Amino acid sequence: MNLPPYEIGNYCDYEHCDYLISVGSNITQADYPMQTRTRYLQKFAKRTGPDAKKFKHVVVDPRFSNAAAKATHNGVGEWVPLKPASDGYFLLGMIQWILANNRFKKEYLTIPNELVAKEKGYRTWTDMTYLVGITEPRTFLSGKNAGLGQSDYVVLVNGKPTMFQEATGKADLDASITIKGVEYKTVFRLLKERAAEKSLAECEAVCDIPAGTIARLAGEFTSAKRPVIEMFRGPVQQTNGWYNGQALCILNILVDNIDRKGGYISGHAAYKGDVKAENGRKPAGIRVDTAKAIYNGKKPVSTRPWYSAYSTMRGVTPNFFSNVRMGYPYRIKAYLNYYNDPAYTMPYNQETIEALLDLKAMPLTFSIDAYMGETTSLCDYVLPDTEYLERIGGFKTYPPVKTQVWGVRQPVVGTIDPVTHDYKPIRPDNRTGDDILIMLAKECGLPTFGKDGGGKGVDLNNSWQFWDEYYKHKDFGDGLDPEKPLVKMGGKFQNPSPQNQYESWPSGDYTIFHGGRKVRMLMTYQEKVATYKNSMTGKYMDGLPLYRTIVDCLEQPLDPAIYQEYPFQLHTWKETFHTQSRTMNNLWLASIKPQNYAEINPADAERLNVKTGDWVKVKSPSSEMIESDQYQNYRKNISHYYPNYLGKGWFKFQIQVTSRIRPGLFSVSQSYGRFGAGARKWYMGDKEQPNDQRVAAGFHINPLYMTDPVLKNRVLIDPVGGATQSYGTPLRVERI
Amino acid sequence: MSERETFMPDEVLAASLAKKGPKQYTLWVDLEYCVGCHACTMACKAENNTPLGVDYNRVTEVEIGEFKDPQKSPDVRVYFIPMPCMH
Ligand code: SF4
Repeated sequence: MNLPPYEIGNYCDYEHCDYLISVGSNITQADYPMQTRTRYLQKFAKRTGPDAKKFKHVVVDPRFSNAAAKATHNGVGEWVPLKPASDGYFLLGMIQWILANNRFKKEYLTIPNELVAKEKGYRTWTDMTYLVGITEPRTFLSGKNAGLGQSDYVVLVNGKPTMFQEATGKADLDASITIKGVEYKTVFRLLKERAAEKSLAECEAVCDIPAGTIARLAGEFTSAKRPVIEMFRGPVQQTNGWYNGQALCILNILVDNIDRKGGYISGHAAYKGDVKAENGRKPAGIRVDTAKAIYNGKKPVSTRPWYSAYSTMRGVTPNFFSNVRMGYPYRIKAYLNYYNDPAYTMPYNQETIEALLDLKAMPLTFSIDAYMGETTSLCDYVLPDTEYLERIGGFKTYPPVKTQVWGVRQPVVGTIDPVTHDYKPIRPDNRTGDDILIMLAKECGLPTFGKDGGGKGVDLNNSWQFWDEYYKHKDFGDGLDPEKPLVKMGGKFQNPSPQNQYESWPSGDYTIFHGGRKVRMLMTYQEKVATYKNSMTGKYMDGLPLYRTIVDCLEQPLDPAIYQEYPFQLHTWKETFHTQSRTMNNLWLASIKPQNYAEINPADAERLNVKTGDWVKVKSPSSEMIESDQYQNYRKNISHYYPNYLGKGWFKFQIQVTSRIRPGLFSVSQSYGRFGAGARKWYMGDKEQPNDQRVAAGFHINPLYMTDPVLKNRVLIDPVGGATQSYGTPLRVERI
Repeated sequence: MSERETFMPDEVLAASLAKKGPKQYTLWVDLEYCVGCHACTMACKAENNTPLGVDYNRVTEVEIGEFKDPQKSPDVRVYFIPMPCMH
């Protein structure tokens, strides 16, 4: 998710906020930095903050998360258990109510440019008054196209088209105009029309929440002094994820809380160093997962999706594995896996495992891993890594920390050779991940590594040398000299005094946003998205959020008949004390909760006639594919991966009945049901290696994810943002 | 004092301190701060070096209320209760 300039990693400034809605954000339990956010929320927002007495926390989540437990602890907060995948209806419904009832910050939204913003005492302004053409592709009206001159945007001032930079006061907000036969509407009007496409009653029916909830919450939200609505991956990891995220950001824009004290904040830009990489190679060509790539084929539309609008670095991993198997858009020769365990973590991981087992699809595979993880055990070569914390490096932080911070990471188990600065592990064959990558780069003869790799006289033979050089430039200067403050302090930290956190403006206080651009324009309308086409339909995408639940790659909704046969919805979440794939083999952590269960609501338990501890069987619309030729190799080994597989697409689960899960869900937490990392017996040569059945305890939901009904070999993915549909797969559950 | 109230009321505290005689100390754990992260269980294991399966400090989760009908506002509460052994 990267809706410039907001994205995940923008949170609430808890201390000064008095009304917080968290949507699909497992705050106090997950997200980063979990401990920091928890402390800010529990202590600063609820106890010591200036508005602590009236602070209200609304948790919108199908599961009664720990945050919901804390929100309702003293009877003030609220849990809104909406149905998975209905976020778009909830958020656009809120927007609709706010616009229809004039509860937005009107003066703020009419500001057309920086000059007027400054004059009126604002640090940001929005695109709400900019004109957008209603014929496709729906781009902003430029000064040139309006016959006015050089300008990216045009606004209406009392009905008269004006280049945005020339407007000297407020511009028309809810307006439209026809120029040369083409109709143009302001972003505000387009948004208002979009939000009005459904009634609030329809929204509440889709979300399956009591009638009147959206209006009530929108009313409370806009009456609060400093309201914020924040998210984490919940709303975003869905096929409507991009638009859900956009709608949530727009809600914050409507109440003018972006970058504000007590608002929706980006925190700071971290301290940065640098290593010169002259003549460095850059990745080129088309990515196998087709992220960021534009379809340019011979046919008018493609047979597989292309994620041209995708905007972050990570990539569309499920699409990678299905593409690799199909050789689309080309065959790969080698695969290097690092810091990732897709054979376990990918939804619908049968495709991942089959790809790794298929010599034609993945002829040569390597993995850098600290354990014999699921993915690693299926690779040809294993390069043993240290633990991810046992290395030289560094890390930034996220809001709500508003001052500039950088933590230096240093190994604590192994040592650094005083002369060569090589990392010396306690086990002879381990290296840190960075060291392995540098060794590989040197072996491949890549420039910018090895002798003089960082410029004349700067050798980059190991990770110490890399980070020492990195910490000599830009915001740093000390290198890794153990006598200097950077290493002694364990990082660089700005004094978190109030003067370093907030600055005062005539319209109210803003967070300082160190190291970043303070004065900025906030885009509601995503022109770039509106100019991209869905490569499989040839249709333009939309620049504004859409009322949608689950859609396939052709942007069609799922066939409603499917819910007749599969009435349950898959749901998953993360335990506080586990990472997804890196901690279950720590037996201390495993002992906190020795196994997980499939959690269902008491209403469903009554219907199925089951109680906690009973067993049920579950299948999804695509789990029977396991029996087909598509998963030949996987099928052979399935009892090794999933001993709870019963055949014909059915899996066996033990259930726990709890009111913490809304009715209709089948909810299984992550981290359990491991088949790698020592969960099963494994050997090096003839020698049995450390393993423990307790690592394998519990259940894993990933093989039950539904595939895209059009593509059939991959999970459902957001055609715009590239995110996986993480919740809501229809399931059939039966008592056994 | 009801379990859903956040603080010990001032008068209860004052009355308790005003009592004559030797004081009996208790460990006051502010349950509103506890988010059920189980870090105290791990910290206790590390500090006391207890073997696997023996924990001097566990955190229990208590679920109160029932939620079955999405058309009604849920009335569910969950409390996290750290149970230190007080040693
Ligand atoms: S008492 Fe224990 S479980 Fe509760 S917040 Fe503190 S460390 Fe976490």
